[in-house]
Amino acid sequence: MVNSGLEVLFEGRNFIRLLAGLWTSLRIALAAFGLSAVFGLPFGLLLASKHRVVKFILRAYLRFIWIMPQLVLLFVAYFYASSALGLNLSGQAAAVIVFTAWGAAELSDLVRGAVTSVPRHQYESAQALGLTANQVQRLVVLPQSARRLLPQAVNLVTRMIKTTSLIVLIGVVEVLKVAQQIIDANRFSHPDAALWVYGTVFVLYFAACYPISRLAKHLEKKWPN
Amino acid sequence: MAQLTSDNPILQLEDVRQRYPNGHVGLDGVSFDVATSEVVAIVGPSGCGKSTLLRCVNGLETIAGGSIRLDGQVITGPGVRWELIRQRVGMVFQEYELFPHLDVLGNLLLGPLKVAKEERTEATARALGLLERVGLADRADAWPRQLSGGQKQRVAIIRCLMMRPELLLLDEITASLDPEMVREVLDVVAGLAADGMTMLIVTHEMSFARAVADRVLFMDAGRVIETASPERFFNQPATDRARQFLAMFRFDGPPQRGGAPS
Amino acid sequence: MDVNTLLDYLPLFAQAAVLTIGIAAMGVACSLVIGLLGAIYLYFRTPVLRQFFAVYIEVSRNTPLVVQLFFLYYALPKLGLVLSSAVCAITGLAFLGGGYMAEAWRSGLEAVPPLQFRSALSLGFKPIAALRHVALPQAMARAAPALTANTVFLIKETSVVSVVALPDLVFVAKDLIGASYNTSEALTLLVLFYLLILLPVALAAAALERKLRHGEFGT
Repeated sequence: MVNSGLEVLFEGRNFIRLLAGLWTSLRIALAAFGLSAVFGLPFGLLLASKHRVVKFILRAYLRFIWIMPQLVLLFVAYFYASSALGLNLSGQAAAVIVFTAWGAAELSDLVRGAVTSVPRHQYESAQALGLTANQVQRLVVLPQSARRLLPQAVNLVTRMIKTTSLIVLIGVVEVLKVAQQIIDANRFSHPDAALWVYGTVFVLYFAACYPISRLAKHLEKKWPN
Repeated sequence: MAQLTSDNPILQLEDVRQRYPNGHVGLDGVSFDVATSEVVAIVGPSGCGKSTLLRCVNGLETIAGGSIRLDGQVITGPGVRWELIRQRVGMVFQEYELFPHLDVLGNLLLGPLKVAKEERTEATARALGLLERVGLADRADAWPRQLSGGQKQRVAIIRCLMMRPELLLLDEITASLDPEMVREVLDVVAGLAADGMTMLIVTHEMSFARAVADRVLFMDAGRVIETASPERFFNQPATDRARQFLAMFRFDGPPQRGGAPS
Repeated sequence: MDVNTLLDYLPLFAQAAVLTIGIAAMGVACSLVIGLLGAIYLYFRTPVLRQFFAVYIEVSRNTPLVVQLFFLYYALPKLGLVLSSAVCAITGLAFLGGGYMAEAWRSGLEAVPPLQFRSALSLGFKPIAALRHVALPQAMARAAPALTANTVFLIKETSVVSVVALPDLVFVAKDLIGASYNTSEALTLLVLFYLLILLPVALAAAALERKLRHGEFGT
């Protein structure tokens, strides 16, 4: 009996199915992160700029996204789209939209922080060398802010992956849902399958996130601020 | 008082050895006694082990061999309760180390209230008295960051005195100060010496060591090379290394260049 | 959207909000304590416990709360350990938050110069008393922004406790959407109640951070 739950994992295609479920989550995370970068970078530069009205609107948006639990945002997108807008949004599409909205907000704040952290006198001494405004940005400011931004952006990837675990709550078939299905299918033959299967999901998430957060830490150490 | 070594020793070091985790030898067999009310200045080049020595006496470094006795009691070895020893041995650091989250009075009262469990009113009265004595009576409510370096160091000294130590260790206490503030701190130390406080002073201020110490210890490479009265040490050092060391503090202008310009 | 429906649902959400706040408060309190303990063991380099906490911090920070809760609620009973829904939720939050809080406390403690600690020792403080009276008060000021950010984060994470069958705000909202199709009303109340809970906390956190940034000790 001790090993019976473990056997479930290696019966048929169960383990492959779990991995496929995890891939569904990871794909959503990566798609959302990519889109977040597309929106987050320009938003961040705008936040660091002097456009007052734009900044005000962006900041209000940022605050709202920051303060709302991602699950609540997910519910609003998923259920509201179908009921009020008549859109039949799939769970996956809703997830990508919400995680992009959230990721772009987080990333734009990181970009703003990275750009404004470059000290004033760096601009001045670069200008004093005779560099054009464009060159100052490209050769002096951006390399310095990139070093500050990159570790935090990598960190955001792990947060994005962890956040994808929420999508089981809007009915997307991902790793947790697959786990549930496997456990249900075996509940009479292997009553303790839950221990092993959920344990495996736990380990899978750790295996996906840990290397990335190590990378973030490594980068942070390599480029101390 | 000079030359007293073992009549009434409050501190006795015997063959003290210390080694840093990286293998560097901090102390290589140091032995000497300090008599009650004696002021001993320890001088020597950087890295000679003089600060390490003070830290060993206060248990901030663990010794690898030999023994240290305080008032006859061995304070090195297993099972020593350093928190009790340290109440009897005060230490002042180069960087003052006032506690920034407490004001001046809070800094002075922390030890008496939390360690010695003294009465607050009594401790406060004593603190105000000591502040008065070092000329800071009006700064009791000031915060550390509002004080000058010299003021901070005076507060740090009386923070130690609040614990009524039997022995005071001063580790380069003027090294971080602007020159114009050195005097106000050294005056306090000289006053303590006059009152009979036993002190072990690590310093680079040679004129101060000369003025206030009963005895000078010259250290190099983790050993005591020379022990003498200040008069003897500064006028006729016995060893070559001490002579070389003292020569560094003398500035006679640039060396003369031989030959005529061509 | 129908105002009467909103008013009808209000008591249901209020009740759920009390549960959400209670679970969040317990979870935050436990994680602050666990985090502090972990940071202290890391600070003193206590053998064994230090390694234990180092591993724990990585595990708690690199796995999602939902998965942690599934494990606590559905897997642990197979080992004979049956926890109630509320205990599962608080344990999960404490497990997750402990790792985050430990990191916050640790970086606060590391920012206090080691000589501060030693000079407290030289006044006769025992290490643990030196920590309490000298290192921690300074570390707390430096760690405060991270600690409050983690608090907001943990309250937000509370939104997933419906997976262990707790009738929290999300649970109630989902229930009403499924049962009555009054989707907009349920979602509106869900958002409003979370704003009501989180906005004051976020504002207090921002105020605290502003105060700490401007007023170092003694200004």
